Amino acid sequence: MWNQIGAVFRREVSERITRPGYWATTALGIVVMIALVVVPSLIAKGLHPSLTVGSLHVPHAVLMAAAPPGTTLKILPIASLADGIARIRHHNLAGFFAARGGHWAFYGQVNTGISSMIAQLNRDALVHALPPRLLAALAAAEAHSQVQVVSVSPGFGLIVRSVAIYALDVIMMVVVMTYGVFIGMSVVEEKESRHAEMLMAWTRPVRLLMGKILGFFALAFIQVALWSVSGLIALSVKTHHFSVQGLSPSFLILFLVWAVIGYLQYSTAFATLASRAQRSQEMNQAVMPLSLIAMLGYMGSAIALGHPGGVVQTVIHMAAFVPFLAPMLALALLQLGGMPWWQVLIDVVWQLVFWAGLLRVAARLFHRHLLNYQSSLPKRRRFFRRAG
Amino acid sequence: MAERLAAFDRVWFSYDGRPILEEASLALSTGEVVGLLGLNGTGKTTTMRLIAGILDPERGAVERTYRRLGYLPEERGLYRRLTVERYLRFVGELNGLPKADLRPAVDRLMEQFRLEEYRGRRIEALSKGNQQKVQLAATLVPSPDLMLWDEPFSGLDALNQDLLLDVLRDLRSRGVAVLLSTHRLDDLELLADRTYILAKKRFVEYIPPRQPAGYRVRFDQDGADRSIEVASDELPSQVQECAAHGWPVLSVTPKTGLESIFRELLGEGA
Repeated sequence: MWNQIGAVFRREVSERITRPGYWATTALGIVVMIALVVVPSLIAKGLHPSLTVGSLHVPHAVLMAAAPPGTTLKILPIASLADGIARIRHHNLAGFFAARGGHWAFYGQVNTGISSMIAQLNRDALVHALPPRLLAALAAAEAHSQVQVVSVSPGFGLIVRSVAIYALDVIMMVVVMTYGVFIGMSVVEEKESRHAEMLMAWTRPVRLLMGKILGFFALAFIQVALWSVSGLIALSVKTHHFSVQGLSPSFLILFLVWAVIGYLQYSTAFATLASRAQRSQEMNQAVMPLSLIAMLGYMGSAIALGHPGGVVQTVIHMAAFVPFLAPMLALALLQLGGMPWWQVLIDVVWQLVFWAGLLRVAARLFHRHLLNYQSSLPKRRRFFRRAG
Repeated sequence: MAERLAAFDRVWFSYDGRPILEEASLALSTGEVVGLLGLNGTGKTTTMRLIAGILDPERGAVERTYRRLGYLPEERGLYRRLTVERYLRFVGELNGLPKADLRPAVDRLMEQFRLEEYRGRRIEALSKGNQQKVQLAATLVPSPDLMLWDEPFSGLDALNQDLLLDVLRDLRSRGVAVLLSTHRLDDLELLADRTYILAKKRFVEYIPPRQPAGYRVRFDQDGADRSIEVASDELPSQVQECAAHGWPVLSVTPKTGLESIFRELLGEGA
């Protein structure tokens, strides 16, 4: 069984991986991915590494001493707690440090630069290798406790994170739809040339289908992996850290899980629907219902970007369990606070079970349609004759 | 002793309610070339698909005891972007041929079908005839014990048709069973050990006599193309008579029992 799946897999990969178009798309994707990482970072930080934080009763000298190396720190005096929170909410301030009753706190969204400052200011973390200048500043300020972080949202970082999630959702949809169309074209070509009939004398339809799905998956995986690696490298070069603006490794893993599930569901359905087409020109029409479903997922993720509440949020949450919509909506749902881990687990298992069932049904339909060379036109003619 | 490779036992099959086969029975055994004749749309392709396991009968039983199958449908395609060698290797891999056997098998077929010079060339760059040879070679890659060939001569020039006839004889000598569907009755008469004629949704078996019943003589009678049928023992005198009148003999073709039976069956509304 696996020999035959492997043979189809190798054929699909070797035939397509040598095409210049494949590598041109891969290169373009790498450029887009780097831009996706770098551009929000540039928007958030400006062209030169600089950081603006507010200060409520915290000596400026202390904050200056704790500034990340190579970063220009701008300190904005904050009059009161309410003033600081208003600046976060309405003026794109990342956050501010406040000294209240001998305790220090940070209000706002922690990014890499601020995280570094908090680590510097945290006395427990500074037992070793405390810079003398900072030590002197801390002593002068009589600071003696850990910095407490108080999350204030929405901040600009959250918006950037939302954009990143949305962008990855769009990338997922592009990959799923593109490879769905590719696999559909491959099926139609085999049917149109009547090659499929020869193949089915040697192997079962489900193996042919699996070989195709896995072959195109390998091609898609190579592309997505190269895009992801280039994105992570861009992240590390830009921030010296792999976690910024919501693009953490755990988030990327979640993205990959849903992208794989999305690919499996859509490619199986695309192959099955495409097998109904008699000619390449008919393929778009054959797969149109699936394209419309994918559009629903896209619309749902666009709605989630707007942080809706109430019924809309509930509907999006429930739709995240519906096959074909789940891959896009479950990811977009992160913008609304995400799902509890156990729901994610249930959803992933359910989507995989659904796909296994879909594959069985798809193989039967695939078999039946591949041998049906009769256009559905006569039925339409009959209908119109009756209607006339 | 001949081993049975495939058999139909009272098979019924229909497409969308249109009956194709009704209580149809046949059997194929090792080392025989069996013809399959029938009008277009009477079920020859369906018969091959049933034997190949692509379709299953509605009623009756199809016995498939062959180990490896070579199947060439009437309308066939290729992966046009693959090279000839890569395509043949793909067919071998699909049929589970061990890697060690794959290379010699592909090399042997390249030589047999005179495709060596096109080994590294993409199939789309080959002529139609050479593409047809690649398809035929592909059916032999799995070293089948049963071959299903549907119109294998179409698209081949005279030289390559001779090449295919040689391959066919070679297969028979090696004990491979071949089910051959073609409209070329002369070839069937020449090659087939027996022929199934699809008539009235059933198979009628025809086993050719050792000697032809007669001959068809075609000659040029003062500029007019004429043909007559004569009994075997009358052939020499008929040829002499033509020569005596100065009528050039254009062809002498064995009058096949197959043809007359085929026409007779069709005349009854097959």
